Amino acid sequence: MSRCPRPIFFSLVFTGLALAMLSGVLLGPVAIPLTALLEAVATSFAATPASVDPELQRQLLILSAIRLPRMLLAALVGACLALCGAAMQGLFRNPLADPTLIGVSAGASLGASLVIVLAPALLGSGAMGGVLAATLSLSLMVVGAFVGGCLAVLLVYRLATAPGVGAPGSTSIATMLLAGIAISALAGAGNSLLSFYADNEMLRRISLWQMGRLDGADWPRVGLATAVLSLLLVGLLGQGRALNALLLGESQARYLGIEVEHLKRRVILLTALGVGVTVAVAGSIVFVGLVVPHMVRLVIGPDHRFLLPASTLLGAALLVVADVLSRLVVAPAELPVGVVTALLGVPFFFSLLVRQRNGGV
Amino acid sequence: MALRAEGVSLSLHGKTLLQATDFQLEAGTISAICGPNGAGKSSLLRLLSADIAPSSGRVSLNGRSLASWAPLARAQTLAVLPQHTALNFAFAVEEVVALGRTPHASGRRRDRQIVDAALRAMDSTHLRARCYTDLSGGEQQRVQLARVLAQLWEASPHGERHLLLDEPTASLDLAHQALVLEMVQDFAAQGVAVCLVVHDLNLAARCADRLLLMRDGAIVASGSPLEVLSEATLQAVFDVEVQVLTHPQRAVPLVVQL
Repeated sequence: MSRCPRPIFFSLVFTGLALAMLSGVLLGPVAIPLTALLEAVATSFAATPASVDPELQRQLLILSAIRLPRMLLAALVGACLALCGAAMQGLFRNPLADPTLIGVSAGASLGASLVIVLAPALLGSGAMGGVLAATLSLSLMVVGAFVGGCLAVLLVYRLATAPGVGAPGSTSIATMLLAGIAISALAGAGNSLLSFYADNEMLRRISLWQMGRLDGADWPRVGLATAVLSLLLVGLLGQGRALNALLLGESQARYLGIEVEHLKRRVILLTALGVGVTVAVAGSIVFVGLVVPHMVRLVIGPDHRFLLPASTLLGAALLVVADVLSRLVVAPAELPVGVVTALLGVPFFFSLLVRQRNGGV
Repeated sequence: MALRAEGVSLSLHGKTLLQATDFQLEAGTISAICGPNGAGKSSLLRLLSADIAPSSGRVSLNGRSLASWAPLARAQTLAVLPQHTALNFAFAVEEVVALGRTPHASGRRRDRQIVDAALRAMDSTHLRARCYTDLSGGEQQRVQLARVLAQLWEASPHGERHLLLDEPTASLDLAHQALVLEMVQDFAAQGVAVCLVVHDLNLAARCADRLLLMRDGAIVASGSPLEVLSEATLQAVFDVEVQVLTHPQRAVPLVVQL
């Protein structure tokens, strides 16, 4: 086995992330020169004096109102998805467990749609205006997405690891993926039903679930995603050893002193929260949770103590790059970023399926 | 002290797998459990390893109820090798063995030494950098054995150590079967209580201080191999015609199927 030494890999990923973030801020339909960025950093986005030329002011506005929140949201969502994907694959002991494939994203989107359609009735539409209402409905959506995602993971986990399914200590891939299909179909039907009753604004937001997109990025979303990613990092990064032991099977992990039920509950709740939040702020962005951990495993091996942080960093870098691509390919229009990740991820998924069929992953 | 089951029984889905069984694992001795398929050997092992709780009766480890042990402390005292381990992630062999050090906080350097020693004990040093999923069945079994050895390599602060192995030699060639027996005897000599489930009666006779025969969820014979391995008992337990000879070089019985 040839693996890349971990320090080298981590420094490469760090460099990649920095470059991706830089290009995420500078590239787009309006290219922003590096000097404008430096100026922005120097004045720390403070209100610029009137003497500065209007072109620069326009660029600073684009930076602070559009590019920066969007780039940060892409990085945060990518990090969340890749970290959740890596943790979920550990939980399922299966490298094909991706939040979108096993129905977690679908469950989360159904939960969020329900909230969107029901929230005006619950809150009394128009009672509150502006930022407060927006923030409140965003948090409600997160709650809805979290509950939907949680139910989906629990259901799939129960089905795929029921005694009598597959070899002892393993999860059934077929059951796992089939359960994902069933949940996605249910959520699809639910979403269609809800679209039927939704008004125009709701429809626009529900359509977000079909393909993830980042053009709604703003600072409240960035704040929310930052908070959740921090929670995920605190809750999951320390579980590397436990997840490694869990790969041997639940009983074997117990023999090694792991409190398995506790670990399972923690991973299920946190990944549902992570996926739920990404769905609420950016819709369902497919394959990031599958492709990123897999790439990391190929290069530095499956040890979760390093897989989890490395996936977080690489996921952030990749989604920022995908977002830049989505803005550049058909500029000045843009593709939903979910379409870009799907186009990149599907061939990868097929190759994984083929390798799994031929034994060994 | 030691690992002790008192009057344990186990029923799952209305089927009795084990009926009122007493069993004790003594420090520094090797016990072997033999019996036909479905006799309850693995069920007994799962009760002893706290994998499932008995329907009645009680299991205690070093004087305390097994269920009341903190998982970490128990893992430092009791290591279990199940029949099958499904690991389909591409760990390097040495990483798999290092998983055995999970319950210990002995530091990276010490863990490394122990992993090296455990690999050497299982004649697997040459596999150390190989990918676990590329190994043959027998090689994987040796690596898993090395992993449970690494788990019990050093004395535990919580009393005597116990090693439970379910068919550890099932897919090993003759030379490596002998190696496992040697290693098990080494561990017993250090004061570890060892319990093996094996199908090969002659293997059991060669290494065990005590042999238990199980049938239909009960222990039907227990004692030294010489006492237990009689033609009448074996015919009653296994329903096969056997002749019991004496091993040409060792003072142990040798069972030959007729």
